[in-house]
Amino acid sequence: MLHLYAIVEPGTQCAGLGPDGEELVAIDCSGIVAVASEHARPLGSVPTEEALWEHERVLEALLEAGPVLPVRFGVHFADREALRAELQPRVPELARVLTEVRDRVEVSVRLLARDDAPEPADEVDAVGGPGARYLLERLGTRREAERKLDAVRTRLAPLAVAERSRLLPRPGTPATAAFLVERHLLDRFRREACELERELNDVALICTGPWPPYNFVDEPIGATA
Amino acid sequence: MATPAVAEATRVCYLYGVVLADRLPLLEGVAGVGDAPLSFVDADRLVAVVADVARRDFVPPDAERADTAWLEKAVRAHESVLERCLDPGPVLPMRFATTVRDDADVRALLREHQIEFTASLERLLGHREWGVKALLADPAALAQHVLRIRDDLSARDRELVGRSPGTAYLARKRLDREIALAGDDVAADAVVAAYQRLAAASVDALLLTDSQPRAERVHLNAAYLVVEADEAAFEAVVAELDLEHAELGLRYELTGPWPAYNFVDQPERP
Amino acid sequence: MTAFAPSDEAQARRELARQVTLVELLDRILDKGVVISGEITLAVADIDLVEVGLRALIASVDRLERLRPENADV
Repeated sequence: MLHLYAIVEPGTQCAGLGPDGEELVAIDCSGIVAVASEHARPLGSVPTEEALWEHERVLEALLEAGPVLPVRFGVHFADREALRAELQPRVPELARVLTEVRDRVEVSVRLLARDDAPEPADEVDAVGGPGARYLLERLGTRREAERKLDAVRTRLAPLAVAERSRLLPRPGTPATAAFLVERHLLDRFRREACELERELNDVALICTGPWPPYNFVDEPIGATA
Repeated sequence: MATPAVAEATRVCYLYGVVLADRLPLLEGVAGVGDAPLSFVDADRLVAVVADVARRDFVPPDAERADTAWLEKAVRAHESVLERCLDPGPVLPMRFATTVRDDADVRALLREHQIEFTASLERLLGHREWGVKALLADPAALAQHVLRIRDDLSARDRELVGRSPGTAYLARKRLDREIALAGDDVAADAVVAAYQRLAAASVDALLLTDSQPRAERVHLNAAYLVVEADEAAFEAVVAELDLEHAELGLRYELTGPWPAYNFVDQPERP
Repeated sequence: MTAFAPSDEAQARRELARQVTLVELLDRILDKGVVISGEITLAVADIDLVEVGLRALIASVDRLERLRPENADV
């Protein structure tokens, strides 16, 4: 049973990176390498926080050595044959994506805002009743979130190679954005985000990372979100 | 020691505690165990506070039939009787659920232990037992204090900001463990000093080892025998400690006055 | 008057960042990356993890807000 961590370039150092110092296996797939660990049986179906962090730690260690296409937690194959069968047809695409993310890391910028209740609509606006008012309020909240997210993208996208962002339905966390950033621009990016937060004043920007490029390996980098 | 006579008797005598004859408590309005009415049995200078209970209404709990509701109610009743006894003077508390056959047995008990009971009560005259606990109310505050005094740990804490999330997570766990251990040391030093300051304000002091589990971690659990006239000063020390150690996340809890459970056999310090 | 030392806000911010990091991890590791169709045996519990993470997050935002110097009680 093989648990998959990531796709990397041939020659990437994988020794001793596994959980509890276990060996990882590098499975060659004619042009790319699949990094996995071998187990007698599948992992339990409910991941613990520990297990998730272990998976992430391995990815980050691989990221130190070269480009990484992260695979989500829990993907496993019965054996090498099954794995190769799955990956073989996709080698050209995966090899291309690897070059696109070389020396680039993902930074997340999450917007956090206080859940201030929107102004209650005037009595006069109660045309359509409470349902309409609720929708108008939600729309107002959504527009606010869009405005804030736009400010973030406008300011930070120029420092990034690509960006994926989305509005979130929950109050308190109106939006989150992922940026693919050249490694050497990471500090500059963070500084810019700090300054932006000071200017925006009514929202917190929490930067986390550097992450392996989870959000940028599904589609060609050039495509816009 | 249950004799065949006790096992067959329909009524038994429940013993709460022993007081001095010239310090009788007022027992109006106090409900005893099983609501049985309270009375006194005297022998010379000693008076036992008792209740005549029907054996079938009151069966001392044993491990197998742990009726926790009954037990809780009975323990509270026992305590409230003892609290009332504590108003005018010291009381030697009997262990919960001590029963003998009848008044005659009570008198015999008092006579048998007359010298030691009288000596204990006289020693306790003018004193009351108080309990002091130090609890970790705010672990985050303690952690912050540790980071303030340990440059090495706070440097590692700051370093984590730039690390990638997975590696940071592991390093964070290790750091948190070290901060917690350092915090334990800080708290231990603080409560040792506290124990001694409180001992200086009292006649006798004792560290208690067993205590009920609490939501907050217990760093100190101690009993003090305090001269009644000095109680205000003792309380002031507790208040000072509570204020001074707040930045360590500790809070102090004063309970009492208690029947002198812990100081019945202790000789006074010279 | 409660004075908030700069370190309190920095501390709260780091704590908030830690919580955000967990939410970000869950967002990625359970859901993103290259799509490889092996066997996946993840229970629905993964969604609960995100919920829990987000709830903790919202509570932390309030705390951070309160620690901002302009919000301190005078």
